[in-house]
Amino acid sequence: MAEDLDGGEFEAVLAASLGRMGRRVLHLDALPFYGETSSTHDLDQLEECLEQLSSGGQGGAYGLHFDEDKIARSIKVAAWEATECDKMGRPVIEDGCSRGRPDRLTAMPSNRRPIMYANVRVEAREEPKQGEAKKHFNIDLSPRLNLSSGRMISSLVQSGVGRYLEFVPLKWTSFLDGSSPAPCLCKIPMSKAEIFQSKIITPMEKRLLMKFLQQSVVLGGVSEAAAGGWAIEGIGESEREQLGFQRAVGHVGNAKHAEEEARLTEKLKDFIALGICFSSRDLPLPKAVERVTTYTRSLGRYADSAFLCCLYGASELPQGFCRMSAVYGGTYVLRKGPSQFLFKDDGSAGGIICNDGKIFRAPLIFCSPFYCPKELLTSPNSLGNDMVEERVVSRCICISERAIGDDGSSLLVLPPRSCDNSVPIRVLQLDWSTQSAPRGLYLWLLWASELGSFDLSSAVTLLESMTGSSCVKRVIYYHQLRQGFWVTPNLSPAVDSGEAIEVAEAIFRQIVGSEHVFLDAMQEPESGIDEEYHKILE
Amino acid sequence: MSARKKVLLKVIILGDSGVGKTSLMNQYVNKKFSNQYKATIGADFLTKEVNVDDRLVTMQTWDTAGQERFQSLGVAFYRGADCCVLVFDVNVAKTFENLDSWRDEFLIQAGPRDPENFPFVVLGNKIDLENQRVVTQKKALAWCQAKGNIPYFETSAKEAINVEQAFQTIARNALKQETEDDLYIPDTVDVNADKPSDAKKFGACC
Repeated sequence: MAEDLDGGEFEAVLAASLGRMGRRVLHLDALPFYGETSSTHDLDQLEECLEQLSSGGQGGAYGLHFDEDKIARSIKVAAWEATECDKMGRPVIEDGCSRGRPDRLTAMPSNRRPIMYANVRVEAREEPKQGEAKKHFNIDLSPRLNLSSGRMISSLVQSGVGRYLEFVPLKWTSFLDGSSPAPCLCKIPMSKAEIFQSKIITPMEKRLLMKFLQQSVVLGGVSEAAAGGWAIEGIGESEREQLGFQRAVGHVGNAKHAEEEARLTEKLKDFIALGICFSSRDLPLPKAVERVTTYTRSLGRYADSAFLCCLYGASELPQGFCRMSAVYGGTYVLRKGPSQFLFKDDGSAGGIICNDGKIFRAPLIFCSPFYCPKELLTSPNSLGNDMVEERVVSRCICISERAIGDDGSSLLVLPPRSCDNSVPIRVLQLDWSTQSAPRGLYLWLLWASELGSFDLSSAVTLLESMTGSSCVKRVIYYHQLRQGFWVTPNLSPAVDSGEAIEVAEAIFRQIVGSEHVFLDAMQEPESGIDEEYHKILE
Repeated sequence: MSARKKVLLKVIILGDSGVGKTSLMNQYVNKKFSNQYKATIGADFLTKEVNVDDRLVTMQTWDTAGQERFQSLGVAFYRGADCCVLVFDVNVAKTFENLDSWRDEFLIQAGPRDPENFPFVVLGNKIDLENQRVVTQKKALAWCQAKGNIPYFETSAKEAINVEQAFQTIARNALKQETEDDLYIPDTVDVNADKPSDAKKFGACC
């Protein structure tokens, strides 16, 4: 049984999990690189990519221009059965591989003008000096961090994909405190000691904060050993059982927690919402508890900080999963994309026709919104309608000669109304330590969502005034969230990468049920080969 | 900035499909060979402890996992390579002609700091099929010389000819590269070296 996949990070996770359990996977992407919207580029590639995938460029350089006549002809030539058209004038071909009476397949064109970005603006004070230096950037189109105890890292460890990757801990996280006349950075303490040493909150607030965190850990069912860097008291086995019981009989814990929450000062609410949950203040309590517990469990796990950055950029993740899938027999083809999707009369998937005219038959197709036929983009999917929405993520990439705050990789949250923003703006600063920029230069990756198209240049101006220097270069662009088919989280504005795993698992479960292990551990390399060779020798 | 405590060498093997990349790795590490060709499935990377000039190093040899078939390896495969092994089949001219593009592909994708001196090793494989041979040793040596004196070995994964010697040279040259590159490599976290969360570190105070 073969399945076709196209696209980015989330498709890569699905390909790996299905390949691992023995499905035949064909992974196509018309682009010349892996990761689609989660890809990472050097400076020249970045500009080319944004230009090609925006309304101005239309993908000519990536071979995304489709010649309608050529495709119509190739359908007829490649599909020897192609003789008739349906009522809409679309070609109908016979499914040559079914037994008995072959199924008729109807072709539906893929999205011919794939546009991912809008309003791309490049403003350069000067180009980085040496031509060679442009190659020493690894710039993420969708920057993402990995919580040490989050779903992404645990999946990498479980499956063995983590062996392909290296990580660098984020040095610090903070949010901008706009309450004082001169805006200053509020660093989020990374240990209990740091909470008590912190000068930004009062002793009373420190105690309230500890109590809230403790409550969250208890609510989250986190054991003492896993409670992590804040050394918050976790709970024992018996208490956990009791807690499970309490939950069942009516959220006693929640009520207590809400009470605790009500006592928090405004500053602490900012502290928790912005600095720990990386969200705005209106995050629902259960979600906040979940985030706080994952965060506290992540502290001190591999390093002081809760977050890990990928060395060489976020696109290492999809590439790692693609390799896992390839190791288990998946076929990988870049620079080749779908031009038509084939459906049976009952509406189920039948296969695809590539832009070179080749036909692949497959009972399962996963498609990123990038290639998705327009007709299917609006239809609700089986994961629930809440994912069918139009959103825009406004993004900006800056290259600066000065760092925000201390040297090193860091995440800064600009709360609402820091400049003219109504939702938090995330700023990820990366430097040479993750191989993101040459030594002496810093990348500021800004993003904010659900604002419509929001101009991030006022946020950049704010950062520039804080560092006392203007950026060498800025690239501002908008990332359109278009949903459909199987919804990819590639474009989501989340900070943590775990979401890709969650959605991929949900779909994996729908397809194969619960009896298969999602992302089962890869065998030891030696034993894998041995078995293969034994099979051949027999 | 950092010195890796344990020396881990990353070696990647490139070349057209069917030249014997997986077989060479497997002969070297597992001392096994299978005559039957099957496009690579299940091969990831093989690890072997190697003694190089009285230094014990761990050599990780990365297979292409079949992703070379449609030139779709992706940049992650090339990251941090300490040595690149180029393989061709002495019985198929095309696989020799393609060495140029594999070398170029590596230099573009991996972007080594000093491309002139990056260690390559070329292996002309399947010399056991002598009467079918089309690429002469002279021709192969001339190519290697023109590309900056790349070491060349004529190998047979089937008969285990020159495999051990070739990989010794690969390890030695990779090690040279490793020490030169140390300055540029930041400290990293290996998520698979799963240490339990170090709660004590923070719990001690207050």
